[in-house]
Amino acid sequence: MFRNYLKTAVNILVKNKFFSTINILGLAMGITVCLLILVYVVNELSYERFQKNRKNIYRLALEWGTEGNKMKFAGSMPALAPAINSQIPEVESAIRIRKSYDAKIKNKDNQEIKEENLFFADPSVFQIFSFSLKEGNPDNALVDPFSVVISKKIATKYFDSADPLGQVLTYNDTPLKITGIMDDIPENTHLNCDFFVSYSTLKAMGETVDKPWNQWGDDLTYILMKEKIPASVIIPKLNDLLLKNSGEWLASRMKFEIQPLTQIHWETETRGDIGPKGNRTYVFIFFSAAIFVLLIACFNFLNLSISQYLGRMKEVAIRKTTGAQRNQLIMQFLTETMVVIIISALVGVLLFEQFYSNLYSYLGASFVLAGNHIIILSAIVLMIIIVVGIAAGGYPALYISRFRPIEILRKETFGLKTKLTLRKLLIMFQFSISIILLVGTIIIFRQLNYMKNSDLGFIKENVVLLTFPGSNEKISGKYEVLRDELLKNSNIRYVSGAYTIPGISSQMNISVRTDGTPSDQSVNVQALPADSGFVKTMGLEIVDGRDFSGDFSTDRYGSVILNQTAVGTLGLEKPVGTRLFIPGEEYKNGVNVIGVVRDFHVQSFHEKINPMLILINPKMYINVALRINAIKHDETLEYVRNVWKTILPEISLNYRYLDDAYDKLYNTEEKSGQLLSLFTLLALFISCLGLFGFASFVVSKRIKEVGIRKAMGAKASGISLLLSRQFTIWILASSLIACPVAYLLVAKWLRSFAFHIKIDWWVFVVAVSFELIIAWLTVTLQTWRTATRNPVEALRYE
Amino acid sequence: MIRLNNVYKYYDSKFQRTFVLKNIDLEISEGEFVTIMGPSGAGKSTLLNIIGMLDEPSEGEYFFLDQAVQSINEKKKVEFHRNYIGFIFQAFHLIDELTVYENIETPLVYKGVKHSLRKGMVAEMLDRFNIVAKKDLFPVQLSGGQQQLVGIARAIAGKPKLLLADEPTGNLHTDQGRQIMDLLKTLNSEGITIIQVTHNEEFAKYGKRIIRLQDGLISSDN
Repeated sequence: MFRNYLKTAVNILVKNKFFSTINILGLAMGITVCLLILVYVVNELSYERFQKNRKNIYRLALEWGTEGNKMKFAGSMPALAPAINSQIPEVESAIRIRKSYDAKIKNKDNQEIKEENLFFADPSVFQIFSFSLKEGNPDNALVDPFSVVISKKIATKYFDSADPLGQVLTYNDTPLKITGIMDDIPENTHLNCDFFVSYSTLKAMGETVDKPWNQWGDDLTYILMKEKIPASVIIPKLNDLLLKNSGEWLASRMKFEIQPLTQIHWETETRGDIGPKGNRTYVFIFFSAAIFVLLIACFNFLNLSISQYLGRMKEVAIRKTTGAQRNQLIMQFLTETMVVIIISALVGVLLFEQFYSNLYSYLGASFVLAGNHIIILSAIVLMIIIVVGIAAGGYPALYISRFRPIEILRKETFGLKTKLTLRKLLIMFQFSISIILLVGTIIIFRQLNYMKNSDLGFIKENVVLLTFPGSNEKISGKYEVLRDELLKNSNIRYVSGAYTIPGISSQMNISVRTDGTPSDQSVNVQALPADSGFVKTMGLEIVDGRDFSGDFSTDRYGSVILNQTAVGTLGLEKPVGTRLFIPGEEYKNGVNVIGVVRDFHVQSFHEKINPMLILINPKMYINVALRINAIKHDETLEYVRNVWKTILPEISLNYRYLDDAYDKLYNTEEKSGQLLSLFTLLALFISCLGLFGFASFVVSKRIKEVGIRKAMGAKASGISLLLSRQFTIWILASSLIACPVAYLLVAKWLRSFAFHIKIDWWVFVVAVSFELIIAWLTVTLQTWRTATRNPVEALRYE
Repeated sequence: MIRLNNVYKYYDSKFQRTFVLKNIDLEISEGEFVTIMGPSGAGKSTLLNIIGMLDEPSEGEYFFLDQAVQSINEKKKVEFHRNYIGFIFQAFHLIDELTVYENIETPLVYKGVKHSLRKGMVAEMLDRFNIVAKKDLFPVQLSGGQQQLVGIARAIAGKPKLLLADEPTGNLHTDQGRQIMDLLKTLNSEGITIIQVTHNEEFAKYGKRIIRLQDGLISSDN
């Protein structure tokens, strides 16, 4: 019997090539898009899930500052973890992990290779985290100084043998003994380590790791709570520790934040954090998009299926008179639907396989489809098959098989009017979703455009940025020679070293107070150490006072320029000439405000503009910015290369452009925008398929009517219009629901930007019109074919 | 075989009741070839549909093979359709998506006949109606007469005792019609009870008994 169902199903599929193709294509694309999005969502949500102790692991972040002027640091004091271990019994274990930002490892050929994922860690890191050692003893691998545990990946990279236990690895000229080999750590963690060096190595190398409690930022402190003890119980104890060790002034400005391990991926405001950051808004947007697209595809499928089944009423009647039982008919329809759905799912999965690696390498997300993902995705596909199958096959099957054959055989056009309401709703739902997606896409692109083209307060074009390792005194001493040499080329107009460059995230905050204010009323301001040419190089605009100048010897260490926000924050009436006090030995006599620049963006438009203070301090430059002429670009770069080579031969030149660096801040937005528009297009395409199928169905049912109308003198265009009117009304009705929903969604997204566009009404008009045009084209194309036919064909009997 | 006692069929609309059949008493025995005649709207098709259990009388009793049809369930009716009753329609009503072979096979599938056995039975039908060459064609590729041959082949494939034909020649020209009627006559001589509805006086005479309906009443029966 089943074989017969199957045979019939295939038969029907082949006979109705047009509808079958639309059906399969629509659903397959829906499944592909849905999987593409879900794989991203699943990956984002899977962060840290492999950690067995994840429910009891927390990181102690540090909040610093006074009300309204707070900053959060991922790292805390190096002395914190040992203090917790000895004084807070609720904590099973506390450890420090410190990332090395300048790790270089020597390979077999004695060449230094930069390694991103080298961390110093306390010995119990393997007790807290689920990083399993393949070789070596997890209990003591990181006890001795100069020990290192490496991942398998690294073992094969630097050593011929797969088991280099006991061999020596050279890190920044320091030999380290390999005491363990661990399994490669999955990508979905913020602690993506390839090397763990014993924390004791730091001390042995001369770092003052036991420094007092007034220094923090480098050491990430993780705690493992004892089973069933809530982390909140240690808050008072932490505060006690802080008060005892760092004194009242610091303690009153500091607060520990207990961050659950699984939340760390979503922490975006924490400074000095490590690992890729997730964005809940995007996960939400994409997840909704996935659901929307899938719903569109399913509704599409349901709609087309019902249409087709209604066209097969006669067949149902005949089958019934030849002895089919109702459940046999239901089974037959279900089989047919399942065949189509399974084919669609297969096509969908194949398309997904084709595209996912391209898509994610484009997104810059490097992850492999791991076992868990595949299980989850297969479950999703299976669920789609079952749910859609039962809905799209079962519903019409139940509905149609109920009719008595005599009712069907008596009238030829049976089923046209029935259940149109349900299908109308489905189509309107599709329209609504398409409109929402369209509005979303337009808004995202407008916001992107706004961010790229609005006045940033600085001129981002024609600025070359050189990475300058100024933390090294030998190198920072050569800054002035480099600058003067560079300025000899007439195509290099200005040169300035700087600590902070827009788009490059290093930031420094200092507390500032005016003359006469008590020190506990100082204000947090972002300090921007730079050279005297900074204002000109970046194209900032002086709105009050003057720029730094070589004519004033006091400018170095004695003068500062504020931005407008800082003037407001400090409450200065006449900023120029004001005396300010800032920390640092060089500034102990105070500094003079010599000028005010118009506010400029250092961070993305997500962030407000911070109060900022520009001061000259040649020890602090980590970037050198060059404003160059647009002409003879290559020659200029060649000149820069040569100058660099003569002055700093030991360091390779690393340069980029300011506009690239700044625009990179919107990488996520840009890519998300492009992705969302791709998905929108696909969703639109799928709903067009559905519309096309539905239109063909409606039209085919009205062939006779069209024939009669034409016989009575109607024109083809008139008939097209008649049929399009129906869809127009539906779209307009859908937009009533879609527009408010879209408004709420985009408004939510825009709120994540400190600077954003207004939501203009015309965006909705454009989206709805676009939808209308697409629908008209689709319907007209289909009706035209019918309407231009010879009426005799339609009116012929049977 | 068939007994109708005081059968009425009517439709109620808001203010009136429209009678299609009135007080029908009818007995048809096995092996008969009955023609039902009458003008349009006389209730011929309705009567045939009631006999074929596609429709139900509003009032009255109907016994099929001594079983009271009004009191049997849907499942039992399906059983009757599978094993005792075959239909032939004016508009042929073949399934467009299935081939000739598959159309004929359909009732056998529902009857639960095994695949191997089914093959033989369908082959026999194809052979008998001289349509072996057309077995892989779809209905639209056949002429009207050929389609009706397939319709008949399908109707008798399950070896029914009763064959109901609603204007089987209505859509055919006279030659084709005659051919179909000859075929029905042969089938009747082989023992199948046939009840046909027709407008055509010539074809009506193929029946051994002619029942005339007028406004839902039997006006003559001979």
